[in-house]
Amino acid sequence: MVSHPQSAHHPLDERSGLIRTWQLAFQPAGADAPLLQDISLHIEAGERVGIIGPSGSGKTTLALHLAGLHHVALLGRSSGSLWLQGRDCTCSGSEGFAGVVLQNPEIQLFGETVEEEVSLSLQQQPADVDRQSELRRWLDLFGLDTVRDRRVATLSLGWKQRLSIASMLALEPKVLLLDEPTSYLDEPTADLLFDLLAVQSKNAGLTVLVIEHDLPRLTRWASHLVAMRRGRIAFDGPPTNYPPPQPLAPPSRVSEPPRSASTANPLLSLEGVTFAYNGHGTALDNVSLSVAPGEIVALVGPNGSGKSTLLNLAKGLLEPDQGRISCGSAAPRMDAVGLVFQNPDSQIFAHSVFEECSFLPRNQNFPPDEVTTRTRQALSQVGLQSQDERAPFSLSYGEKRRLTLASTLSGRSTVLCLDEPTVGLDRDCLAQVAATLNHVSAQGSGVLLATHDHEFVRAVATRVVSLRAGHVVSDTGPQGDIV
Amino acid sequence: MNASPAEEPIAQTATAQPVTRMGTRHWVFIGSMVALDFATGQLIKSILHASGISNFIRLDMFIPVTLWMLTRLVVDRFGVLTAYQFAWGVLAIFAFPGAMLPGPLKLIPAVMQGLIHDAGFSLLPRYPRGRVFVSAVVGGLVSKIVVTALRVQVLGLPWTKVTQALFGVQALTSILVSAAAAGLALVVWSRIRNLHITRLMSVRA
Amino acid sequence: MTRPLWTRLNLLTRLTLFLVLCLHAALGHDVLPQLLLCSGLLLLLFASGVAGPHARLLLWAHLLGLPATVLLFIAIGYEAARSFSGAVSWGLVEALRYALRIECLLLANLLFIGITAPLEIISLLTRPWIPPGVGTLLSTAVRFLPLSLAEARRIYDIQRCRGLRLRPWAPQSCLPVIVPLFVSQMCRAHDTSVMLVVRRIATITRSPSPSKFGPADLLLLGLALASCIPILL
Repeated sequence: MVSHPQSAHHPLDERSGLIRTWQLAFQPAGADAPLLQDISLHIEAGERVGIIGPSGSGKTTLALHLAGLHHVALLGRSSGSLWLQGRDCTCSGSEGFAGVVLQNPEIQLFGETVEEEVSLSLQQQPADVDRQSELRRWLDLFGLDTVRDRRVATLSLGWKQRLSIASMLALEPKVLLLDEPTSYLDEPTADLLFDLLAVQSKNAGLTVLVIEHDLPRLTRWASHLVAMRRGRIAFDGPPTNYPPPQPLAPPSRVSEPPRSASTANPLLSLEGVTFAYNGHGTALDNVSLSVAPGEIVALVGPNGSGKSTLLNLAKGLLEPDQGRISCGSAAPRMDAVGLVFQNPDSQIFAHSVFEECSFLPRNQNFPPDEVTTRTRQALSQVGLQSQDERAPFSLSYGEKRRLTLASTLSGRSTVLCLDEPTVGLDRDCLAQVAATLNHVSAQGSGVLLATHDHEFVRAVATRVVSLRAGHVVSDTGPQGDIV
Repeated sequence: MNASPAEEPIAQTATAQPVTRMGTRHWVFIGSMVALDFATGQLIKSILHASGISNFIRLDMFIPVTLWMLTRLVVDRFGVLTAYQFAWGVLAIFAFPGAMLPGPLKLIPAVMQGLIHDAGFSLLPRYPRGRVFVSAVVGGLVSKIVVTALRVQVLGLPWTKVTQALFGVQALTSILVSAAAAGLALVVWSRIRNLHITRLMSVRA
Repeated sequence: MTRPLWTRLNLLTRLTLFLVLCLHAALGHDVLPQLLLCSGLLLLLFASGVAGPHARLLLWAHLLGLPATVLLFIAIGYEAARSFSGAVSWGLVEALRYALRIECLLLANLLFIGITAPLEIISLLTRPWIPPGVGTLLSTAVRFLPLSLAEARRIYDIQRCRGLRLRPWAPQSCLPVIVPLFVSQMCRAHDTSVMLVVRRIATITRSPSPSKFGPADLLLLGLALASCIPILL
């Protein structure tokens, strides 16, 4: 663990600095263990702070404390010291100190039009402020003057996120907290947002706290990086000093797939597939690809390139407008293709891990003995065999992701599709997932995974298909260029 | 636009006692449940319609009752379900003008039902599971009685053997559906009650 | 071009007119006045152009349901009169009376929702004498409706991938949808409420400003309230 040198000083001796914490801890109500422990940080005004770490490491909880919003957004006990602008805010907040921008702009915009949205924030300004000129200033600053009369509902996600930031900054907070603000955005829009934040930080002295999974982008943008691990600070300093993560070792393959034989009988085949969402522009255009037994095919590409759409089509949730999708087996596509979604909380419902994992084989009408066998095997494959009686909601994020993987492996699918399987996972979980995928492919199944994680792709994939704007731009081996 | 009332800070004591006063998040939560009520109704109807299933007892009868019970389990204060049903009734005037009773008449059984649900929960605090069943069943029955009374007294439906028989069937269906929905709500509650988000949203009377 | 009259009326006027029409529809006894009221409302609904395709569909559905209503009343009449001709004549008249009441209420409802947005009702509920949460509750419900529907569909699709089949008579079959959906909705409500608190906003959606009382408002209100006197007496 690398700690910032100033954290050795007790904050009661030095109350300077915009945000100071000393041995800050937080235990949620009803939890057995604290979620944050021994957090000592010093953040100056104008800093661009990136906060990284696997899901469940305490990033959001920490960020809420640093923004003085813990009293509104959390339930539990904070201890230690938290000083915001020289005031002790450990057990209370600081009104107007920070603004928040969340992942999904849909829930944070409340006006009918762009102008109205920013005006809502300006209503909080003192009466003597010239609200019209302030409105013009904020709209110009974020390039929103061209869309000021547009209805918010008609804006794209990128514009909505930009509007969220503008309307929050119009409150003139000292700190702006952004929690994974670019999850739904494409690369150019994400870059633009970060540029806007950098400008605000430089010109207006705004302190920006950003929680992100995209380490390269954060490294380029941030002036101060905080890495969290299991509720503690694992790194606190300039991003240039952050040690590069250990490369994922390519898992040893039990047997290489015989490529020439396997391409003759693909497990999944897409031929000339075209798809558009209800007249909203083509999501996939004339895409052809196949997955052979034993192959691990990685789909890479920016947000909006059609990766998730392709997986949904492969699964059978959507039907192509043109082209054909076929499976190697006689089973319907819904059974032959398994799909693991990104967010485990969107599917967990059962009272035990075993019941959760056995849901699919039960629905596929396997006899009870075989349901039990398949479920136990799947749980073993992901390392959850000893947790079968636990309530799935009590699992950690990484364990839940593995449970959702096991829940699909327990079925009769011959092709396993995964949507962003690495987001939010720590190195141990990533290694486990990589080993599981290797095991699945060694048994003759095919794997199709959509991911932004190029390192993971290099570690596991036997083939890489690059998508851009709904087109396949390259289809190479794992060491080829990832476009 | 009014400034929002000062938020009661979430308790920061050693044992983190549950919140006892309703704040913005609780009202937003109840409103979100009303929206979910409409949304799940639409979803289930579209699924069952697509599959050609037309049953006497259907899923879209169970789910609203389950959601009401869960809402009240999370925000355990008298008046929550009354406010819920009032909001539902107002929106139903716009969304389902012809359903149940036309026009603003549908507000009357909706609010009555909400009041009975609230009363059931608040009068039986020592029976955490029993109060859910009692509240759901009695509230559902009262709603059917009020709807029938309005149809008879206001709309002029004659109260004869035929209508009595129809009412009997509806009342029996209501009891069965409400009881099953209450059971379902308790199953869901057993799985989510200890989640942090549930504790965050909870209000204890 | 002048705006239609109903768009210039104050919300309270429109609401009062709606409630008065419902009162007439519900409490009127004679067939002829009800028939005139129904015809008038139908004409107003279509002449004003506020009747959308859903309104037309609903009215057709009610019309198609009329034979069933007539049969029900004939059955009721037969139970009392024990003669078929008596049952038919009584049943037809009573069915017409019943159907007219329902149609008048429905038409008044359709007219009201054709000229009033739900957000305007919310503006009525943000008065000082009403608990502040009620406006927040209603505005949240309006705002979250499309988001909730999209989320419900998404979670249903996810569980469908795992072989979920909803059985209409088995409530437990919807557990895989209800549990994650409920949790997701709680998370969304929590995030939204944090945003509202941070931005110090009272209600999620801003209600349009109420229009002032004009001469037309006063005239219509007076006529409406005066028309209630005979009914109440």
